[in-house]
Amino acid sequence: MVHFWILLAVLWIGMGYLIWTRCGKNWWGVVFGILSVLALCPIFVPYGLVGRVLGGIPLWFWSWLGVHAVFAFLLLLYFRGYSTSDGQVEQVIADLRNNQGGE
Amino acid sequence: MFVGQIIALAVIAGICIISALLGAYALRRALPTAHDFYTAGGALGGVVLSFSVIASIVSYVTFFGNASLGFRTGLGAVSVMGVPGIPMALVWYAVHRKTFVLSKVRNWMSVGAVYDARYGPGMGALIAWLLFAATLPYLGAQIQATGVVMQALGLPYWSGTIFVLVFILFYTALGGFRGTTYVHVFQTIIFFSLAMVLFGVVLAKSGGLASVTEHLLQQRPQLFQIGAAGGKVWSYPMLLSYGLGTIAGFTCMPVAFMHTYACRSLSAFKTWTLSFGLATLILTVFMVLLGIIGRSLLPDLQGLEIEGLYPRLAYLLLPSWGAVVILAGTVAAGMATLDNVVFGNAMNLVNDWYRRLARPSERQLIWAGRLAMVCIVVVGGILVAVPKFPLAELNVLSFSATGMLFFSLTGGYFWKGATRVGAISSALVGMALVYFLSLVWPGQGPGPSPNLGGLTPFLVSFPICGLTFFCVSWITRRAEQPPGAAAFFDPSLADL
Repeated sequence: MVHFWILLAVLWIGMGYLIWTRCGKNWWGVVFGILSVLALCPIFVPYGLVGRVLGGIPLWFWSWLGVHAVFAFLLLLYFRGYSTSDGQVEQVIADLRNNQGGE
Repeated sequence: MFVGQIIALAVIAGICIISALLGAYALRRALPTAHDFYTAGGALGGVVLSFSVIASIVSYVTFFGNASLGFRTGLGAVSVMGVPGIPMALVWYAVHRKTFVLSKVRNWMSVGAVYDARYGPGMGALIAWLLFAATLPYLGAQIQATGVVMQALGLPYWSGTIFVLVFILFYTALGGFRGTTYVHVFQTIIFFSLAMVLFGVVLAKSGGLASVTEHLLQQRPQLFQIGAAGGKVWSYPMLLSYGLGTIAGFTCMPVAFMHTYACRSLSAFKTWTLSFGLATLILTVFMVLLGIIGRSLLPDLQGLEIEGLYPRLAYLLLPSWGAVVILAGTVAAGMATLDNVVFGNAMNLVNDWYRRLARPSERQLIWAGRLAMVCIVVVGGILVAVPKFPLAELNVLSFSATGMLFFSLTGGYFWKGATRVGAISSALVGMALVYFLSLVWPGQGPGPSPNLGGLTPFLVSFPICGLTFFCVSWITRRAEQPPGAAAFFDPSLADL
């Protein structure tokens, strides 16, 4: 399994870096980078804990779903108030058209 | 059963006819340009696009494949379609925001247009064909599943499938992207509501989720474990592989580009990416749970019989007319995905390959797209003439193969050092490896294999594909960049 953990670390760094830079190199990027990897692979739940059950469903699944709920809420918040606005994008499109004539 | 067949035919024919009428309505409104045909003129809003993208991706596989995978392998099956949903919204936003801006400046209407602009002429044609090869299993899975539904409804496998395919071709070819989008709104409402009805009935008649799962936990605890069977089922590599593969694959699939090109604003883009993530998460979790409950209700199913779990549950728990209506409703989901794969590939092959070869007029571009759609459906049908693979596995194979374009796409967008040779090498090496390791390598299939050190074909191929991209780009770093590449790094884009 060692090769898997090395692979995971590389992917985590790569994906985290992509998301961090695309979110403006701020705390949003850090939070989303971490959440992305946690959401994709529940490595925060060791195999040994998978037997714990809540309401007929294992705890690992609830915690996994919880990560997704938090992720969705934060993403909604980010999209609505902290990410690139329509006005900014329209300005960029207009600038690019002027610079290149929309070639 | 005769009455059931008539009801099934009526529901399916009703869906087909309403879809065709909506396609015709879109044609009435559409402008006669190729850009309008392939991208709806870039004028659609977030809500319509949300319905459209949900319908495009939620398919038979979401219902039948996830239920079957849940039945066979347990709760970890959510990783294939459900878990990537929310992270995928963020990755799409990170990557395709640039697609959105540049498409407005350059009037792009195919995936290859991005590659042509970034890496130079001819690259788009290669990508169009590679995407066609990569999405063929996905297309085949939808056609195969249409046949399974027809059989479950007591209708003939091939004639029923051909009937549906003819209608799909009709409304897609008639209304272009705008037409399919209108049809998708209608189809999403149908299949989403019917799936929720079946899930509710299964829960009510099986005594509630907690009691069934607690019973199954004692009988078959492996269904709820990650790392069951000594770490072989839903191990960490398997979970990561399926989740990451789906994200990387969908980021490069035509569906992401088509919906980005059709957006009228960035707000619309944000709306459909997030809505899609939430919808797939909810539907997939429900369908996997349905599969797990099915294990207690129909424990004796085996092999490809398990693919028919969803219809079997409907017939077991509902009056026959109710089961028929629910099943016929799933045809709407399959139709939407089929039309999307067909339309996306036709869009790419015509705009990236045929246009370069023949220099056609606007009208010829549209007609060539219509002809391409027919050819693509025929090829997909031939591929699955003899069903060999379970639906979910066909899906995974497709996403894994498409994901091999991830490095050339994101590298081209965000790294000035990316070169044409690097992009070509990574795409060819990655895709060839995925197909080789999934279909030829001993212990074949898209799951983890001891012959691959416990990793999946995707997890082996993805880093090799990335390494190839970066190494070959570095070696060929002195190669001249095409003039269009500069726009990808315009200072005004840095503020986005």
